[in-house]
Amino acid sequence: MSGRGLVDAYLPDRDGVRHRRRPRGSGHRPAADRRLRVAVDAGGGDTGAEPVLAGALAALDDVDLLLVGAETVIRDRLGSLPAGVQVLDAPEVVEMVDDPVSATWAKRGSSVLVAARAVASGQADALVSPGNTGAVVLSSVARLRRLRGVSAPALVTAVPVPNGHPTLLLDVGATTACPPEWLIQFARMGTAYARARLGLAEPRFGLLSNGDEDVKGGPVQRNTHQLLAALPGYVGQIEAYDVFTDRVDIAITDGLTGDMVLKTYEQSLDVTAGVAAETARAFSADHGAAWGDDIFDAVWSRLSPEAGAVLLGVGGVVVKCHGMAPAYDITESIQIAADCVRLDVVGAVRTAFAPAPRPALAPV
Amino acid sequence: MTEPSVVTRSDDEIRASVLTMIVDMAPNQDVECGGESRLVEDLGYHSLALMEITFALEDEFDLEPIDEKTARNIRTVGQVQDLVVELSHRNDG
Repeated sequence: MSGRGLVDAYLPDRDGVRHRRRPRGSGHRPAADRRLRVAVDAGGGDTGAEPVLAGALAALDDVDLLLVGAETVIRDRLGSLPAGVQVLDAPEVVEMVDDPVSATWAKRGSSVLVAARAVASGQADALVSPGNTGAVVLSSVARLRRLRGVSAPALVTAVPVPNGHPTLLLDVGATTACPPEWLIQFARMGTAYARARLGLAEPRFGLLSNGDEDVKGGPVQRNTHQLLAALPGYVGQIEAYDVFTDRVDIAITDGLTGDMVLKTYEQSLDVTAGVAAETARAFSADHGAAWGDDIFDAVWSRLSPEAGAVLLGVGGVVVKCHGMAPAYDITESIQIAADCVRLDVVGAVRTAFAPAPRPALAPV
Repeated sequence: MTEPSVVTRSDDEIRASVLTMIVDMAPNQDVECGGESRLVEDLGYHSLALMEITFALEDEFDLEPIDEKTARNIRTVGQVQDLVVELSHRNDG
């Protein structure tokens, strides 16, 4: 998906309703002559290797794959490897119940750590993982390192806005408590990402709080609000519902709050779509079942956030998707990763944090 | 068959390289740094940054994995230099 493609994916279709299209498996052109290779963590998901492998193979039209996990399991599931697929053996797994810090230190052969090293060494161009979020973040920092000037990386995702381009929400889970300095860095990273991926020249961003007046928010929000005021594009503190309107292009918050906002939205969407589908099913004995399925799919596909969140602030492209990600979310996450490589999102963030050049000395 | 060339560094060279890496990756930049400098209090190394520098040192000096407890007990730049020199000698042995 090109940068423009992300915007197009959210703009109204002919019926006037915004659709988030599910991955089609092609449609992207590598900027370089060679095909990109995406490392996929096949060991870390909640639901085993099957949906990860199925989703990865569906992306083969677009990219080559480096499947990272227990080689015996991968080869058992796939049989002979299709063209464009390589396997990297990494039998250890960071489980969802593992403490990510201890597990990353101890499990040096874990699939996510091995996959991150493959990206660092140039064996792959990007990493996609449905694994333990903390382990994905830590492994990425350990192997790809933070960009200079970045204290902590942040996960960014795109959430839908009716009849407009999506709002970028960060952080959605890489951090917990954040000092104001980190939130300011998130604003700079989000702005660079919005320019590179959404093609926005002057992105507007707001700080997620419990109101938009200056007196709202806790100490962290108030301090951050004062510091952000000096940055171009800052619109002020925003309410959670502003994330889903056209008020801002980027919503900044700590990872704990961002994760809760995102999951509350996703669950509300799931419940709402389910109620609508159930109503349709009860409406007609002949067609209700089909209508219900269509309605559920339509609501979910038009209003769901992107399938994967991009980790900003590290020296490579990393996309984290849900632990329970179905195959099509894995496919979409791979396409997001490829999109970010082609648009040089890492370079855009690195440039945003580069020190300003010293002014030239005037001739004496 | 030609044996792959192995770069051997003196202890002083190792210490100098470790210092350069610690300064380069320190969250707090523009801070004077020497052997007595404290990783957390002076250079701002939070847990994420400590893991990052540890893995980077392992890669740079081809060290065996350093465990979490050892890494967390290190307080100063000099202690990091001592550890890397010691582990490098183990590799040589």
